[in-house]
Amino acid sequence: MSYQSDMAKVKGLGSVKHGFAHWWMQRLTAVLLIPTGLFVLISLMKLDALTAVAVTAWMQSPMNSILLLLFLLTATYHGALGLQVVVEDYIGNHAAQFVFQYLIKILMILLMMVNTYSVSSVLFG
Amino acid sequence: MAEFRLPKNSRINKGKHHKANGGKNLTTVKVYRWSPDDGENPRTDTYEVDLDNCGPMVLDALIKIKDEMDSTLTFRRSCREGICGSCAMNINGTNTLACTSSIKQFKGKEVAIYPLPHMEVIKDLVPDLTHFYAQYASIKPWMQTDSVPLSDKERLQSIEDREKLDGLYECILCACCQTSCPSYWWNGDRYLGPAVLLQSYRWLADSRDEYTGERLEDLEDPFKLYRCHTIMNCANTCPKGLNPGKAIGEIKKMIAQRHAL
Repeated sequence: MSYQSDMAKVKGLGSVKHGFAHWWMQRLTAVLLIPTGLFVLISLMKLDALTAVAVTAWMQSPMNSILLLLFLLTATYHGALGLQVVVEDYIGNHAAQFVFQYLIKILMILLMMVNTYSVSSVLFG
Repeated sequence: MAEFRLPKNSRINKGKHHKANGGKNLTTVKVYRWSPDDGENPRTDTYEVDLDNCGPMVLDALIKIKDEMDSTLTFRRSCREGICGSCAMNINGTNTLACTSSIKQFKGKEVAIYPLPHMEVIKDLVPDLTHFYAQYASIKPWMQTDSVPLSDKERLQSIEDREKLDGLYECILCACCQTSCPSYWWNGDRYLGPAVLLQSYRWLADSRDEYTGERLEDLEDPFKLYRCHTIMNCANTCPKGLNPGKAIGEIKKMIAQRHAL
């Protein structure tokens, strides 16, 4: 039983006065994924064969590598933003939400490092 | 946390069948019933209604049932012309007003009536809208000003500025959109919901209001505003043909402008 007024419940802890950055970055990355994703897809389809040798040769062009890395980093960041919303939407338990949000951030950073290392090792390899 | 099954005491049992006293043009109306007094689970009662002796709208059928067949049936109604919003309920899967929803559109098929979804039920078709009303009050739905108007003058508004309120002022706060929104189902405690946000934009769009900045500051929050994922059930279900999703988009645009974008 709570004697808290309905207004107090609605106001809760108040507005955090942010949320725009997340919303904006989600849209910005979504738009960026279209040209970079299409570039990677079309480039790979244009290769004679999807062999390690052919893909490695394609990645050794700096322009290809940079656009591939841009696509991978954007996709990872966009995915992390999306997962954050899923957790906020569906997980009500505060402790579980904290753990999931933490894991998403760590996973995002790890994936970005792996992306960068993998592409640059082929480019400079 | 999202729940995929109703709690044990909310699962719906089969209820009583009330036969019509004669008549040829019969249709079946299935109604959700629950009373806080008997400790029973909810049930759905069915009523055979003679359409030859009944008004054309779903609300007419409900009133006929209450008057002639089962006086215990409880529902809200008042204006019977789609302006008070009292008889908002879920009719054959869509949140709408019983008074503006014709029985004919269901072409003789069963009419299933439930209270507005995902709200606590007070009795039968009457949902508890306390939280919704508190959310509405929290956005200060009145004109806020600092400047002092001349004592013998109204606050003037151009015809163009007045037109910006079209599609907003018509909202009757029936809560059809609010309770059709999955985001509101999952996070209704913090998300303001489509109806309250449309009302919020009604004051943001009003050229006479002087608290636009404060209103936007209060709305910029991951839960209050940005839980809207443009699912658009709100626009789909609004019995007045309004588009709360668009109003929410306009609020987001105004906040983007504040961030110099």
